[in-house]
Amino acid sequence: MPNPEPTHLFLLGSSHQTAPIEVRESFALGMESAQQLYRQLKTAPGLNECLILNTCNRVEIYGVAGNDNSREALEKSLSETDGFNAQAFLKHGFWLTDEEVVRHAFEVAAGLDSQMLGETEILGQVKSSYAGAAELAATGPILNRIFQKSFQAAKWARTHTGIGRGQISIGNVAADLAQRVCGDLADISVLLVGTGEVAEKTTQALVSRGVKHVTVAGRNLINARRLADEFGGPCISISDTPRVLGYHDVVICSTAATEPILRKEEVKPALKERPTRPLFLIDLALPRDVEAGVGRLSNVYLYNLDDLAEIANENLKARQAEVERARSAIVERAQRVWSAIRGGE
Amino acid sequence: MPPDIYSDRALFWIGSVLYTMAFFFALVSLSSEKRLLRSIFMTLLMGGFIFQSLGLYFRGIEEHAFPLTNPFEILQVMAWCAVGINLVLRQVFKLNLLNVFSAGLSMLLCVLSLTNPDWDYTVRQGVTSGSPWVGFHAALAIFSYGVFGVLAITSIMYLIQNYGLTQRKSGKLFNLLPAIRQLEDINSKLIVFGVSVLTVAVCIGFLNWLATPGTVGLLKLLVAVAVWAAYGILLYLRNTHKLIASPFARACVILFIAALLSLWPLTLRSAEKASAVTTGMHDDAQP
Repeated sequence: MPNPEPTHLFLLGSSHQTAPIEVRESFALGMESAQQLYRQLKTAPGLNECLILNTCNRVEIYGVAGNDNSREALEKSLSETDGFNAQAFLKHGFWLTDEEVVRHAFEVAAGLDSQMLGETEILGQVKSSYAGAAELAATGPILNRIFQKSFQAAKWARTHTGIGRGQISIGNVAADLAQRVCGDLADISVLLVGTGEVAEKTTQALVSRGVKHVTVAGRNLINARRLADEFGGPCISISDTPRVLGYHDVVICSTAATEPILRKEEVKPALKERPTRPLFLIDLALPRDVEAGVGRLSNVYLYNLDDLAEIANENLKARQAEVERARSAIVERAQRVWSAIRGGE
Repeated sequence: MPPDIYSDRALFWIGSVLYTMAFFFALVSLSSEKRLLRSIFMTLLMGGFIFQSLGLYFRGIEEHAFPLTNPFEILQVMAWCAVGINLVLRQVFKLNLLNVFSAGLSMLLCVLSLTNPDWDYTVRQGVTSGSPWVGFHAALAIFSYGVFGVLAITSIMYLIQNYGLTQRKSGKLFNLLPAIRQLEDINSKLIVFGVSVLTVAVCIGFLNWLATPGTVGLLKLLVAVAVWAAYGILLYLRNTHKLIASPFARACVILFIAALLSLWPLTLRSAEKASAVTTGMHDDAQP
């Protein structure tokens, strides 16, 4: 049966595409502010449905209104929300309507609008935002339909195209490689030499994939202790690194040393202690911490920052090549959903 | 009237076609970066295994023994062992792509045996038809070749993964292949298992040779001992860590090819004599 009321679907948002990080920081919505905004939107005249998508890279407000004055009402609600920089948000924001909104929602869910193209975390965030909005009875038949279909579209894109192929962050590339060398990461030992940020993130990526034993070696034992506590492992002095090398399967180096801290002569004895177990060395330092010749030793796999970045870039290119294929399929799906919504009016 | 052993070739053909389909299905899935539909692949592989098992079963009934009387049957049994061992190992070691590679090896062995009809000659008195111990010896020896075939497969997987890691290659194939450490581990177990089985086979063969000297020719004896000694040396070098990682994997592949080729001189000698004296490949001692 046709819906007698015309539907005005809109989206007011700001994301990494339109706002730099320092601006995005100023309008990040806290839990309390988001709840307050929901309350205001639900009482806004003419607004039938709404959903707030609030992540570190975007704040987007999806709505369905019975009239086309929704933008003014929405901007007024935003300006009245505590702790939210509405001025910055609107200045760096974008406004979409009707089919464009459906298309955008589909692209966001599929990771096509993400800073890290094809990432999967966004789908979980969209699902969580939708569940939150549904719980507050803020969504209705139109947004329910759009978001449920967006989940299907995202799943389709991930299964049938290569947008999620390969890792594109240094940490995850290193973790992928560690799995190719060591298999199950739960029973390996990682030695983190130095306390650099990239090395810390790489170790975090390994820990997120099951690594349980992390030893931190550092010049500054206070910093090393702090990091070791974070990973629940012991800390040692950097000078002890060659001595304990044989007990570890993955070694991540990122010191500020000007000379290599691991040379062939130091690695060879360690290999004798573990002749059949491969050793994976990740050198994230510049200048390099591991002498290049170490990589030529049998059963040693040495990767430096350039090697990891090259793989990450190749994966990114592969993803970008798939984007158009995924996007055109998603646009087609969005058109079908929008036509169905219009047909139901 | 001699039994018609050619009637079961159709079963071997169907088995080989199914192995080929399984292998190429996996290959296309991998190269197109699409998800390998495991159910389709496993249906094809299991189908091939079942048809090949039926073929061997009917052969066995006709020959009243495990069918190992000519090169065709030896290659078929070897392929059958390779798939069978892989099906078990896949469950035990959870090694990705092991079945894909085993389908490839079995496809090669089956196609090789089927496209050479001369190799499937009739043997009125095969090696296994006399003493059951000789049959047991032959079956064990071929089973150990199957184990070495699997070892060659896992070694190839090791070399591919190692190539990917050393040449900084990434892609679906490398991510699907088992890890270097897993492959090292399984290789060390397979070499021990294969050498143990072959040692038992050689011991039984040796005792049989002592009991009935002259039934086994010098060439066969030398080849059998050479293969056994080569794998034994490989195991020794592996256990003393003198040959590990890529060199060990390369040696396993080369040795398996050599072991397969070592069947060749025996096959030729047997084939030459088959029409005249109707004996199998183990008859080079006969006049």
